[in-house]
Amino acid sequence: MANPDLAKLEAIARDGRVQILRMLTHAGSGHPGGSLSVIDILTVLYFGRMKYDPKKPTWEDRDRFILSKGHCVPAQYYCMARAGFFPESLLLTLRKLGSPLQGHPDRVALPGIEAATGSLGQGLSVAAGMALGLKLAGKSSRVYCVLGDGESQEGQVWESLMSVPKLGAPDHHLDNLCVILDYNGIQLDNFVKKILDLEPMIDKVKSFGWPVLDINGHDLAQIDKALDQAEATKGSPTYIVAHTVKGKGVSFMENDPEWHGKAPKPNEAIEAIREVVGEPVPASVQPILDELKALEKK
Amino acid sequence: MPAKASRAAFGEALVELGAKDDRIVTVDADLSKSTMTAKFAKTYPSRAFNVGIAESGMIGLAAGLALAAALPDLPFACGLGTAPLLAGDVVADPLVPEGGVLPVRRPEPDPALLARWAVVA
Repeated sequence: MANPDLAKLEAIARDGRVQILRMLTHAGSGHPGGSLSVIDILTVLYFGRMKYDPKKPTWEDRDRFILSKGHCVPAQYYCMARAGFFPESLLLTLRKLGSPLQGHPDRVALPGIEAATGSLGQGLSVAAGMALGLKLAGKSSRVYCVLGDGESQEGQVWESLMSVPKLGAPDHHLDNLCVILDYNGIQLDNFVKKILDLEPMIDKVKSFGWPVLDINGHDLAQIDKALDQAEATKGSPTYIVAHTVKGKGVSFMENDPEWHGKAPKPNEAIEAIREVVGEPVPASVQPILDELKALEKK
Repeated sequence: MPAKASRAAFGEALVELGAKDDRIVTVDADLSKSTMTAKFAKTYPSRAFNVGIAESGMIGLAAGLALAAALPDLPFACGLGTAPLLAGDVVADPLVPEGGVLPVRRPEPDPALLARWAVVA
């Protein structure tokens, strides 16, 4: 978008990190590393890019968002709460029995979720189908799909990477589709390059006919500019490689496979949140620290 | 009326329906000549999508198409008839989505089917 309010987006993303750490601590399980690596991308999408109506989640002309790496949905839940899809108090029901905020997104349970994901590797094909359906229906809505790097080892991802650039040609090119790779370099067991290296990822994706943009996935201005470029690209979908840091913003979590799927304990969350917000602790954050402190005593 | 293969009738009916509703599309994984969707593809090339031999990607694509409301629903899926390669199954009811949800349950073996397919020494 022209002249995005970067300071406002920075503040939203910072608050997002606080809320991710808070809800995971309450849940006692979940995925902090990848939620913290993707929150900047989601912030730009939800608060500077996508068209949607939180009061009417099935609005026909909305843009669609699919988080293919579904285990990082706490970042999306935060954005959805902040955007007004549901009250922020619901965030603390994350992963609780019966809550619409399950550990992986459930489109039946939570309006605003477009596809159930978390069975890795499926999101891109579903996003491509949506993009094709919208084109056939003559809609101008766009479809955004965030992929994980670990899940890009799935064969289904490569099936779509092969077919999607030419799918719908010549009448319905999928230039309404934008894929963003959250390239944080770590999967559950270890570093991606130690399990099954994706490199040279950019060359591979380009060779299938995608225009590829290479950005820093924590630089809000770069994310915004890349989304502008994707929107301006006609006749082809766009693939954005967003280089990110797993656990971004919390130094003891950053770039450590240990924090892929482990919730912080209350004292760890307090330390992490203090680092995210800096000194002095804002008045709005102090009650969260108090609440986590109380959790520690339980 | 002369008898014809069900897949031939399916392929022809699909072409007829395609004329009435332009939301109908086909998605194929290199089997359009077997499932008889090839006739539809020839008649409506801009609404027929062959993704290559890539079934999981094809299913995801079809789900996305349905979710984007290009289609009222997704009633037909067809593939090679590999089920008859099995002599039989001991569970009667397959899992079928209801209202977009798979009702998770224990697949209960049917005693009659168990007896029928029991290994006899």
